[in-house]
Amino acid sequence: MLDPTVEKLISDHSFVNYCLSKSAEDSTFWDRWLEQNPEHREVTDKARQMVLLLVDQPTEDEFQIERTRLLNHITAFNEQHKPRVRRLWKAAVAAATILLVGAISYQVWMHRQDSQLANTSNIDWVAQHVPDKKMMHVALADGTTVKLFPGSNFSYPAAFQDSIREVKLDGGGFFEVKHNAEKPFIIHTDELAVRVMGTSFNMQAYATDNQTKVALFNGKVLIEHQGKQQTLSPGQAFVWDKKSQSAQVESFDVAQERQVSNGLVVFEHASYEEVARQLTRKYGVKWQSDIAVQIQFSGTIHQESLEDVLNHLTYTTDYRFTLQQDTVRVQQN
Amino acid sequence: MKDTWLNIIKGDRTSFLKLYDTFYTPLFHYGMTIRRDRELVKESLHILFCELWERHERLPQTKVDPKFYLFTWLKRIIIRQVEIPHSQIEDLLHEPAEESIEAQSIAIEQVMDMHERLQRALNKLTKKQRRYIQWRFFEERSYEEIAELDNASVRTVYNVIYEALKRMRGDIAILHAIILIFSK
Repeated sequence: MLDPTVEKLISDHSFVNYCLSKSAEDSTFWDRWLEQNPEHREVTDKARQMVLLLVDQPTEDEFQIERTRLLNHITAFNEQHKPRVRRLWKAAVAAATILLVGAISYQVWMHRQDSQLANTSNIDWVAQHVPDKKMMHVALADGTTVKLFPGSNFSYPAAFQDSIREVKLDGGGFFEVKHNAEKPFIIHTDELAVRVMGTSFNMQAYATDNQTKVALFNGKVLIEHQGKQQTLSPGQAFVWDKKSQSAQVESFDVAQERQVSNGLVVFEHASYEEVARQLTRKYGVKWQSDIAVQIQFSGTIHQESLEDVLNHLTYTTDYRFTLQQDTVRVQQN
Repeated sequence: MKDTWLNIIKGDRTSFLKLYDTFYTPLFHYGMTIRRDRELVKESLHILFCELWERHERLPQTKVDPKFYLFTWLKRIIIRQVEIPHSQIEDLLHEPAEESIEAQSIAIEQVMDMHERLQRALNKLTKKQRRYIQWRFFEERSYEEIAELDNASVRTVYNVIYEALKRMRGDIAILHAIILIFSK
């Protein structure tokens, strides 16, 4: 570059990559360029500092999403810390009405055949995306908390409607839903709806996965799926297999399932595609193979490093899994 | 800001939001200088303001500027959040020791100053220039992506950004002097 100025450098795509260590090629290029042109070191330093300052700013969207998340949290917090007498009175009314409302809302439920959302055109939705490798806590305005799993997309209204609490999930999460018999809580996914009666459970409904699973710890949920309803009791899980199009209710290992919200991943005869998908969410890696990889992997992964996991895969299958930068290469052994 | 702080202790939500809106961006920037991980910084800021509201009755009626309180609290949360995998222990050994209180408060004042100057520089831009700068740097989009977003040619996008940076140059020059002291 001739006569570099701060703005010339910052406008240069490859220079910005260099500042952010985004590409080895650009880094080599600019290191060499600086070696050959030491007189430009000062202006380069200035430009670099400026790039770092500019990328360290939150975007308008990020700010708004975070602000709404915080507002919901403090509203929920205030709700829970109202004077005690009023809360007890409320609980008494709730207990008295629960049976009645339960019966009525079941009727209402029956009339809503599909799992589509109610009329939501005038609702402000907040969309929360969780990047790979991260878990994220979200508190909703009603006191419900969700721990979202890596790679999830979760949408909720900035404020709930008067009669119903509806949210949307493509991904997984550990839900602790605040009981409110007057305002049913419903989670919608692409294929089913989970109606919750104050409860805690794990849910994994990634649009890209072959399986959708709802595992109930406490309370009661009603699952609406293909026009049928299925109630779950604590210790039961609803599993929908997209390939075979079959739904099943089974019992599950409660202690193990609880660890899922702490990052445990369980594989049972998992295909290569499934293993790759899950490990991408957990470790944020890409995958590359020139051959069709056919494995059936069973096992659990928790706090292990990615290296350990890849070694384990290499020992237990006919393939070699190696990490090159951020990509896992799979080769025939 | 001291009045705002005292009102927050009394439980005034409007003052709390005023504090949030005033300090979110500079705190975000400060967080990123501690660890360049957007999600971690956002999560830490969320924790900071949640804790702040949950404890508002018990906050110290501080005589110093409340912002020092916010910045140091954020720093502690970020450090608390970062688990250290084994391989990074060695890196940690080479990290500089905890700075003195004076050094920390100078750093905080500088972040605030930088934030104000950057806002001033951004405010001098046209709407289009500002939008492009935000896309290019805040959101780290490529020229091609911006061109597609705005239905413009890559050349135009490049020129708009180049002119914007040139226009910010005056404020940039002052910024540099500060950043250089800060990063030493």
